[in-house]
Formats: sequence, structure tokens, C-alpha cells
Amino acid sequence: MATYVPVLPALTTGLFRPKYATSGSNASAFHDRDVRVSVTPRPDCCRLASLTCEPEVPAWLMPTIQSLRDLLQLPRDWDGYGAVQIQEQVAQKALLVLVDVMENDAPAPNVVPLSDGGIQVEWHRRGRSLEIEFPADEAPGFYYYEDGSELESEGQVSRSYDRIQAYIANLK
Amino acid sequence: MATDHFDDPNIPDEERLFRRIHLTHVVEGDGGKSEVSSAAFRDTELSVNLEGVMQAAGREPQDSLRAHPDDLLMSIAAGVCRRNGQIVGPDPVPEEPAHGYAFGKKSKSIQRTLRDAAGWIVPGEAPSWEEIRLRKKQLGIGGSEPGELD
Repeated sequence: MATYVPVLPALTTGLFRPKYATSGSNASAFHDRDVRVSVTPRPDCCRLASLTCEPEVPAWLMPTIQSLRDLLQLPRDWDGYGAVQIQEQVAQKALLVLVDVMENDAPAPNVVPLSDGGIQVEWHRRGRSLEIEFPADEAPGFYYYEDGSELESEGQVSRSYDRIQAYIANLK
Repeated sequence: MATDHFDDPNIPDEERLFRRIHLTHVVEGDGGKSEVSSAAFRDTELSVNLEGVMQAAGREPQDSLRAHPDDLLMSIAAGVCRRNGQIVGPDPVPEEPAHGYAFGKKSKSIQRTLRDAAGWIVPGEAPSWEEIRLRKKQLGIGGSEPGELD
């Protein structure tokens, strides 16, 4: 297994604040970037024999962080068509948005590089596709469509968190 | 990269344009299938190899991968690009005399249309996700299962 130098301190689960309820988003997870996982004893999660509370880190988080780290290792001109290296700040921005819009039980996205140094995350499940694009120098956008249907929807991420959350819920 | 783009009428609509696909742009789709990301068709100046130029030089489509043997190869008809607002023209460069472009702004919908219209050349049919995942892992550009992560 490859060993990576942690080039992006922000891309760790240490910045993730656990959610105990599954109905809300992770919007609070990054409000304070110095916050580390805090364990809050709750009666309903402390009945295990160990009497310890493991914070619930979403299953999608580690694979997504790993994918982002993989992309950050790509060299300049990784596609042979003149692509630039993936920008760390774009990776951070993408992770922040994902933490905001994804439920703990959401499926992990595919993470792909953009030739301008940006990142795109995307899901293709059950005939439904969602792409969230994080260009290097433009506002993030999303695009949702369903196979065999004329239904498609796109817009800016910043104005559409509710819609994106609903689309991701549709992918489960 | 060309600076003066023009649509070349000598490139017929049925001519195939060959586009290399980097493995990072092949992702997991439904039911164990792989899916090519629309990101592979996103560039405003989408670099391609022109089939006509390659044929005239006696080159097979697969020769587009000569300098990039780990990439995959797809083709798309020039007419499909044109019907989606793209300008198709030549842009020969020293390292690739058959280099050309499909130039134009590509909305997400157009990226998807171009991706869906593209056909596989190498490999000859859509690879399985497992094949892609293992190849990515071999090349050190991802492909780990969640349980294998640090």
C-alpha cells in the first residue's frame, strides 16, 4: 500500500465533528478549523461494554480523503494534454462542501481531476448521476441527471445545498 | 495549443476524432461497470487526433497512445462535436502531426453528450470497473478499497 506524506493537514478525519443524529448534515463540522473530534457521552451510545464513545466517522470520508490525496500526487501534465497540478485549496474546498451536504450513510463519491487544477466528484448509481465540479478559478457547480429521462438539473453549489442533499439521498 | 481556431471543411462529419482517456477519468458506474467521467470531455480546446491525418500517414488509431501507453482511447465523430457547437480543426504539433481540436465552450450537458457519443477504441469495449480499479492500483493512481486505506 502506498504511503503518503500528509500534504494536506485539513484532509483528515481529525477535523470531522461527529454527528449523532443521522437526519442533519455535517454543516457544523468545519465551523472551527481547530476543532478536533470531541467525544460527547450520550446515554444511547454509551451502553457498550467498553463504556467508550467512538465518534461516528462517515464511511465515505476516508475513501474520499484518500482519493483527494491520490489526485494531489499527480504531476504536472498528468493527462499529457497540458493539465496543471491539482490545487490543494480546491481539494480542501471540495471536502468542506461534501461534509456539509453528505449524510453519514451517503455513498462515497468518485473523485476525478480537472485539467485546470480543479476537482470533480461524481456518483453514478441506480441510473442516477450527480456531478459536483470544483474548477480551479470558478464557483463550484452541480449537474444531476437520470438515465433514460430528459430530467437534468444544474446550478451553483452555493445556492443549492438542499437540492444537492436530496440528490445524494436519491443515490443511496 | 492553437490560437486561431477555425472549422475545417476538409474534416467530414463522419471522421473520427481520437481522444485519449486518462485512467483517473474512468470511474465506478452501476453494477460493476466503469463509466467515463464527463471531465474527460470538458476542455474548451479538447485535444484529439484526426483520423484522416493518421490514415494518410498509415497510422492505426491505437498509435494515438504511442507516448501514453497507460491511457485508454475513445473516438467521437466530428459531426457530433459540430452539432454541439464545437469547431473542429487541425493543430499539428511536432510531437503529433495528427493533433487537432474540438473547440468551444462545453456545458455539463454538452460534456455528457460528447462522453455518451464516444466509442471505445482501446480497449475494444467498455472495461469493467474491477479491471480499471486494479490497473489504477498498479499504476499508483488510486484504486484502493476502503479497507486498504491508511
